[in-house]
Amino acid sequence: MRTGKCLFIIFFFIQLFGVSNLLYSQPNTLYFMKGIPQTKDINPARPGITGGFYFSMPLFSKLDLSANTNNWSYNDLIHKGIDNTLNNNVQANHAFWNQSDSLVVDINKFLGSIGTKNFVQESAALTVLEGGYKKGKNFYAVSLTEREFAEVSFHKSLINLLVFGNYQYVGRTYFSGNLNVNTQHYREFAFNYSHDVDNKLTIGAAAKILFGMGVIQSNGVNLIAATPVNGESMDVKINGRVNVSAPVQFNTNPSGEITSINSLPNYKPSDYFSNFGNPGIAIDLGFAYRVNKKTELSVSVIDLGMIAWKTNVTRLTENGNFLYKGINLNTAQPVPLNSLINAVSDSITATFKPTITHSSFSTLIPTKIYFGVDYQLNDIISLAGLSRIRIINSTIHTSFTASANAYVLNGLSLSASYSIMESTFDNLGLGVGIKAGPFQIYTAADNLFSPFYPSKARNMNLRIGINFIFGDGDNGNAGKSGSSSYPNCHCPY
Amino acid sequence: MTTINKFNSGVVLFLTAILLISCGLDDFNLKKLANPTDIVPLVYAPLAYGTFKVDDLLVPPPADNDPIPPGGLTLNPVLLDKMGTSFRSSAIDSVYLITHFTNETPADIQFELLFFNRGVPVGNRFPPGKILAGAKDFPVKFNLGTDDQINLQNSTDVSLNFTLLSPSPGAPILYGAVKGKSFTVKIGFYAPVHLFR
Repeated sequence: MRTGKCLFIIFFFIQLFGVSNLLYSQPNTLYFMKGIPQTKDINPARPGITGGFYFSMPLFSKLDLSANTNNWSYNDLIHKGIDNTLNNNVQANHAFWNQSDSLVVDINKFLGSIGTKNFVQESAALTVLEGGYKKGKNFYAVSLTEREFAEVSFHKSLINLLVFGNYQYVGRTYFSGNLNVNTQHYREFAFNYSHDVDNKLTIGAAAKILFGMGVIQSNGVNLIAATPVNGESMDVKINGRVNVSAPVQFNTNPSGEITSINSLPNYKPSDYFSNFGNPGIAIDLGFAYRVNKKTELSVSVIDLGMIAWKTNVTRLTENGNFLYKGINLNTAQPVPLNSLINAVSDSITATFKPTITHSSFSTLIPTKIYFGVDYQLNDIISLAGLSRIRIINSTIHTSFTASANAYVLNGLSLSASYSIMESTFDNLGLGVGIKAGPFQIYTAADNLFSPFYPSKARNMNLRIGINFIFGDGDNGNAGKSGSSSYPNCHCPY
Repeated sequence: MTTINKFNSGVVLFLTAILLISCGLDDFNLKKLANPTDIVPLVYAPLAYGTFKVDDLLVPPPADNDPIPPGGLTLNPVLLDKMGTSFRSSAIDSVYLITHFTNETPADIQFELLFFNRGVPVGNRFPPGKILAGAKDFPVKFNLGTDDQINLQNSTDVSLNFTLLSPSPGAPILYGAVKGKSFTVKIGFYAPVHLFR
């Protein structure tokens, strides 16, 4: 009971800001916001302050929530109204289904909305401690962040099989494509450093020490089934691997089949959160280069790293191949169907029995690459363009963001953005940062309207954070950072 | 501090506004998922296969120079004992049995599918299929409706009946020409399966 509660708490934590509401990593809008120290999170060469030090609100330094798909939404699968898959007679005869407030699962609409390769992804990150210091040309910062993310990627052919069955593949070879699940929870200690090399070039890096808390990761799970035209056999191959590091144990019977999964006995939530047995490392790299007085180019690579999972590890490996031809009628007379069916069933079970090992494994964390260009229109406003590249399920996903960014009233940072993400063109974003004295709060999102239409959203993200900034301002030693002395700077001070 | 309070109020107001103004939050209330929308995939699987030599299915065999009679030469049926096996599911309204024949004999073969309950025929006879001499992977399809599935469920045996026929009634084939020959039957099925029924 106690371990069950423990698992619930852990699961709740992992899913705290998870798929319940479709929310993606740091908003692109944040990249060019002015006067926000956390712009270093997306490019370590852009620390956002010119001098002094800052620390963020303890326990709530910043919060990132995000979710996105490859251009399909929750409403493409579940929505109000009449199910399009039902024929007109059925709809007419069942008035209940015509009620507008009832929900329907619309498989046809879903199939029409998804692509060949699909994914749904969510992530959440809560920074509990952060502080930084800039003096002269050098900037230093440290932070402690809890991060989790979950990605599920699948091929359309898998849905086709579930919806239409395998009869359509008689005479052909069916390939499910890879079904990948990757959910990780880890703790991140980050150490940032950036340096103004000269008035044109700033370089930055972040070294991150990671500690994995839990992971479920599948690797190339796929199904191939070949049936000849005469339907005489089904040659089924299932391959793949699932890696788990979590306080669970897989129970097997003497023949090695998994019979149940339960939590580790006497495992407490504190054991989970104090687990430092899965170390990892990651780096962020970036630079910002001023091409001329008004134009700056910047590039960054974020979260290039991996975690080695060593504690509570279970690895399930499946590499089964079964040629199913049915029951052999030449065995005896009369043919004992029951015993033959049981024999076939036993052989299928024995063939598709995953091998369980407990060796350590490693996982990559999702790497992002940013290319930015910033053009200073005047002392207040700059126009910027940003491209973000991610690799999901061996496919490159690129988004583009154009933004206008301003710093006005000696404390108000504003950004308005338009993004093209995953073939969606309705992403109007906003970033606002308010600074009053040392206190600063800021928020940014790439799709301002998604929170109002969550069931229709394809991309949702939100960053909110609170800082206390002291001693910031143009002290004359800020290198190219400092709007008064250096009017082309992305930083307003 | 006043600024902090103002901002906190602003955040609370913003979140409240989202909650109040958000459209479609009700769409996440899966308790309203009252529509019994069904998914009905067509599932196919091979069921059985066998290769039968003609003289293995005739005890006692006729003489080699006996012609196949005009009404055909009925072979001993292949019986499938289905005791302890259930073939009925509420998720399935109809099942289509697809048999593929390869007839390596010089005679045509008539194929029938029958259900028996302890020797007594159950249900209607299915229209037989005829496989021409030399046919390869010739398909014969049987549609098992709901009644047929009930009959199958209530039966103890499934009988596969084969009758040899001379292709040309005026020129009967002698038994000796077919006794060493064989034919192959492969039975598969496909059925619309109502996953949520």
